[in-house]
Amino acid sequence: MPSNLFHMVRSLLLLLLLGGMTRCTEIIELDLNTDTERLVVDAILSNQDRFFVVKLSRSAPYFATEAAPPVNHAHVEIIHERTNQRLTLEEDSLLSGHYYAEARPEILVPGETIHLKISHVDLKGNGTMETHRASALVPEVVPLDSAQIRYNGIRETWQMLAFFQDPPEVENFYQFKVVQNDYTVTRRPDDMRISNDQLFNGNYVNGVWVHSIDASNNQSQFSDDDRVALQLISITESYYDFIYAIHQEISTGAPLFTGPPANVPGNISGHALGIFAITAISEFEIIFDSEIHNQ
Amino acid sequence: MIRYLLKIFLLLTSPFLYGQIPSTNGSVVVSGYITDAISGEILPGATVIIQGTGKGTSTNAYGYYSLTIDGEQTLTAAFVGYSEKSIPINTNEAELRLPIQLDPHTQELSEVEISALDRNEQRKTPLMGIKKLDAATIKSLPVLFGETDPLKTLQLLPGIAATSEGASGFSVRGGNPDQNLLLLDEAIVYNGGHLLGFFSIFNNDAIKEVTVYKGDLPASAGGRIASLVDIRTRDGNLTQWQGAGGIGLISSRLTLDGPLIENKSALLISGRRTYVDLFLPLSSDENIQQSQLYFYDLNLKANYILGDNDRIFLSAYHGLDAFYNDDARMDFGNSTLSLRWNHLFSPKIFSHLSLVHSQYNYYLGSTGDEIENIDWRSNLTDYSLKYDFTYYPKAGDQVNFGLQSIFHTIQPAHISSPDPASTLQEIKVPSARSLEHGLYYGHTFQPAPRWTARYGFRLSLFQNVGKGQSFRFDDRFNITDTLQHRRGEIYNQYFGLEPRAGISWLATPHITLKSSYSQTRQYIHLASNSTSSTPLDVWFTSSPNIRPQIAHQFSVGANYLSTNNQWQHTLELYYKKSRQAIDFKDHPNLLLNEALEAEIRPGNARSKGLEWMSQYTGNRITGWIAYTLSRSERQSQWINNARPYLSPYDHLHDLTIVGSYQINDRLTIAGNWVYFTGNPVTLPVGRFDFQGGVVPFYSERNAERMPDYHRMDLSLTWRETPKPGKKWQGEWNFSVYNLYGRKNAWTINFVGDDDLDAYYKEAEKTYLFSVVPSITYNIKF
Repeated sequence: MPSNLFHMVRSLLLLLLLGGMTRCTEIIELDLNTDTERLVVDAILSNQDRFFVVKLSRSAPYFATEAAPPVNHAHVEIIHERTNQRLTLEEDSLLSGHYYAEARPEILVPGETIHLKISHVDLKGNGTMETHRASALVPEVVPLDSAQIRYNGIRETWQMLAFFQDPPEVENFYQFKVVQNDYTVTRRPDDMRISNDQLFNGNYVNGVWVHSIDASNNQSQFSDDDRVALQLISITESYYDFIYAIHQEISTGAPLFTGPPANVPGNISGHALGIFAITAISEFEIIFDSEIHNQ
Repeated sequence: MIRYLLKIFLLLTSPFLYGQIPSTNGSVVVSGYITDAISGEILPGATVIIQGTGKGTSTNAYGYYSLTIDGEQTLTAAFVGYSEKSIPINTNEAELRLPIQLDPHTQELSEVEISALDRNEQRKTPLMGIKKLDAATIKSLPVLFGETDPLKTLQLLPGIAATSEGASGFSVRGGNPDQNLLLLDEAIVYNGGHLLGFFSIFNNDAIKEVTVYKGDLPASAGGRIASLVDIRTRDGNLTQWQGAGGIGLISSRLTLDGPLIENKSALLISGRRTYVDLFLPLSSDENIQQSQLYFYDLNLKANYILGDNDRIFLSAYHGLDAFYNDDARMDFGNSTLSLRWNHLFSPKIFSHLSLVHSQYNYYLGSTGDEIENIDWRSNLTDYSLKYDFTYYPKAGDQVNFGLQSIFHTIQPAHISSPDPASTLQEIKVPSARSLEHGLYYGHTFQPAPRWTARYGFRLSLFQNVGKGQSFRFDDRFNITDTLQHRRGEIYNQYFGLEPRAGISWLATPHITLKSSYSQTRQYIHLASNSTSSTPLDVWFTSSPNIRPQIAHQFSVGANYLSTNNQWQHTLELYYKKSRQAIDFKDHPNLLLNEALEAEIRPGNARSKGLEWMSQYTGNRITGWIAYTLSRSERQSQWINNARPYLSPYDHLHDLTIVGSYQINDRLTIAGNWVYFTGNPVTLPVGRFDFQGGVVPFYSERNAERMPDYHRMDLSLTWRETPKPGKKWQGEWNFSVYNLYGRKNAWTINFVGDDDLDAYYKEAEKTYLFSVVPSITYNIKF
C-alpha cells in the first residue's frame, strides 16, 4: 500500500476512535530486556553528495538517553561492481563514527550495483574482528519539472506540490525532502515522506501535495529570499520497504493497526542493523516570497 | 422428487444402521412444536422426556420434536423460564401430533432459572464446549455504556476472550477471530462489530438465543475451525402486538412484534441507532465538531405457518456505520437476507431448506485536490443454499444429514477518483469467486442405557471459480507467473472429510463424563494481523497457494449436577492442533494488494487448556465462576526464526465471576469481575540510530506480556411498579463499567518529543476506559 494511503487509513481510524471514545494515556515504568550490542550502519549515498558519508554506531538499550556510541577504527570501502573501483572512507577526526570520502558521482550509474564493505570492526572489544557487507542498486533519476509552495490556512501548513512524469512500465519508489538554504528540514525518519507509484503509475503527476512544513508555530521557518527546494528522490524498493517499516514501527497507531512489531528489513550482512542505499535526487528550487507564499 | 430421494436414502441407511426397519407395532410417534403459551413463539432447545425411562429428545432450532414411545406413557416437557408440563399419552393411533404450549414463569421467579430436566438433557448431549445463552441472561449483565451485547456476554465464558479491551471481537481457545463462524438466522456475518468493534451488530431485543460451539461443531456446520456462534432472532408474537424499547447513553432502540394473521403469521421489526454524533458539536476539537458518526441496525423477521407440515421464515438484517468529516468519509456494514422453509415429510422427517444472501461492504473516501480525492470500495457477497434433514427413528435416536453450497464473491478493493482528469490511476484488485460445498451426516443415538454417542462427517469441497487470476511463486514468495482463468472455469479445488464423534456417559445420576473429537476445515480467511481488526480488513479464500486451515480437537470432560439441581460444575480439557494456520510476514501489505497470498506465511498452531465452570441457579441468586488455564502457540518456518511463539490471544489464566441477585420483585443487582494474564506482546530489546531518529528492534515475537487485566462491572435494575390500566412497564438500568477504575493497558507505545530530544523515549500506555457509568431506560408494552 502506498505510504500516503497508509497514513490516511491510520489517521482515519484514529479519528474514528477519538471521535467515539474516551482515550487516556499514562507514562509507565517498563523494564525492557536488552539484546547483545550490534553494529548499526547508516549509509545513504546520492548522486548529489559532495562527500560519501557512512555512519557506524552501536545499538543501544531502548531507553538510552543519548545518541548511540560510535564505532571507531573500522575499515570502510565502497566498491563499484562493474569496474571494481574501490573507494576507501576515512573516519572523520571531529565526528566520531562518521567515515567519509570525496563523492564519486560517476560511479553511481543507474542500474549498476555498488557494494559496501565494513571490516575491522571490534564491537566486543576482545580483538575478534567482524566484517559486514551490503549491496545497493543505483536507481534512475526521475526529473522533477517543477514545484510549488501553497499555504493552507486551515491546516496551517505550507504544502509542497510536485510536478513530474512518472515513468511507465516500471515500478518507481520515491522519497520527498524539503531543503532550505542547503539544509534539509525534513531529515528524521518521521519526517520522511515516501510513496510508490501504485496510484499514478505512468501518469503525469500534476501538482500533487507531497510534503508539508508546519506553519503554525513558526511562521518564520521560511523567510523572504530563502532558497526552498523540493527534492524528488528516486529510491530502491528495499529502501522504500525499510522506511515504510520504520514508519509502521514508530507510528502512533502501532501496534493496533500495524500488526505485531517486527524488525525493519535492513540489508547489512552479519546481523548488523541499518541499511546501505543509493538514491537519485532531482530538485526544484523556489525563492520564498512571503507575499506570494503566505496566502 | 425430494420425497422419493429421501425414501431411497432412508431405505438404504436404515437397515445398515439399525439392523432392521423400525417396527411401529404398539409404538406411537409423538411429534409437534413446543411453543410459548402466551405469545405462540416456538421454543428451540425445549426438552421432552418419557417419564420413568430417562429417554427423551429436545426441540430443534425451529421448536420441533419427534419422539417414538411405546404405548401408554407420560411425557414431560420443560424449558428455561417455563413451567414444566406433563402429558399422559393414551392413543391407538400410530402417529400423534402433540403441540405443547408451555407457560412462562411469572416475574417473581428469576428470569434465568433452568429446570433440572433441561439441564439433564444438556448434560447428555455428546457435544462438548457448547453453551447456550438466552436474551434474558444477556440482558441482565452489566456492559460498557449500557449497550447489551451478546458477543460480550460470550466473553464471560471459559475459553472465550475479547481480542482487546471493550471489543466485541473474540478469540476462542487462542484462535484468530476470523476462525469463528458468526451466523445470524443462518446467514454468515463477516464483520460482527460496529465502531471499530466496540459494539456488536446484534441487537439483543431481536435475539432469542445464542449458542456457542467451541470447536466441536455439529456435522451440519463447517467452514471455520475455532467456533460457531449461532444467533437466532425472535419470531414475533403470534397472538398480540407488543413492543419493547430503550433509551441509552449511546443509542435508542425499538422493537415491535405481533401477528399479521393471528396464530398463523407474525412479524418482528427492530431498530437501533446511535446518537454520538449529536454530542460531537460539543467537542472542543473543531475537527470533531464537524464530524458525523453513527451506526444503526435494522432487523426484520416474518414467519408464516402454512399448515401442520410447513412453515416459512424470512429474516433480514441491515446495519451501517457511517463516519464523515471534512477530510474523509467512511461507511461499512453487513446485510443479510434468509428465506427458510420447514417441511415435515412425515412426523419423523423434518426438513429445512434455506436460501441465504449475505454481504459485507465498505466505502472509504477522502476529499482534497487531485490524488487525495479518492473513492475506495470493497465488497463481499455470499449466496448460500442449504437443505437439511432430521430423521427421528426412535427415542434418543436422531439422524441429521444435508447439503450446503455457498458462492462467495470478493471484490477486495476498487479505487477510483470522482474527478475524471485526476492523476489517480484506477486500481481494481481482481475479484475472487469460489464455491464452498458441504455434504454432511450425523447420527446421535443411545447405544446402551446412560450412554449417548454421536458420530458424523462433513465432506467439504472448495472450488476456486473463474473469472479470476492465480499466481505462481518462487520459494521466496516472488511472483513467477500470473495465470488468468476464464469465467466459470474451476481452476483449483480442495476437498476433505471432516469426521466428528463424541460420547457421553451418565456415570451416576449426578456425574456425566464426555469425550469428543472433531476435525474442521476453513477455506476463507481474514487478512488482518493486528489485534484490533478494522472495518477495512478484507477476506480472502484458499487458492492454489493457500491451503485450507485444518484443525483437530480432542476434548474430555466431566459434568456434575447437584442433588437440588442448583449447582452445575463442568470441567473440560482440550487439545487442538491446526495445520496451515494463517499468519503473515513482517510488515505485510494487506490492502490493495492483488497478490495478497505472497504475504502469508502459514504454520501450525497448537492449543491446550483446562476450562472449569461452576454455575449456580437459585431462585434469587444466579451466576457462575469460570476459570481457564491455557496455552496457545504457533509456529511457522518463516516467522520468529521458525521458533514457536505465543498466540496474541494466549491467556495463561483467565477467571470470570458473574452474579445476579434479585433483591425483590423490583430490584436486581448484577455484577461481574474479570481477570486474565496480560496478552502476549512484542517489546523492543534495543534501538539504533538512523538519520537522526531512533528505531526500535526486537528479538522474539510475543515474548513479553502486557500487564494483567482485571475489571469489575456492576448494574442495578429497577422495575417500575405495575399499575392496573397502565399499558406499559418501565425499567431503569444503572450500570458502571470498570467500577474501580483500573487503567488496563490497551496498547503500549513509546513516545518522546523528537523536536526537543530525539533520543529520549518513554513508555506510555493507552487505556480506553476508566470508570464508565451509564443509564438506560427500557420499556415493554
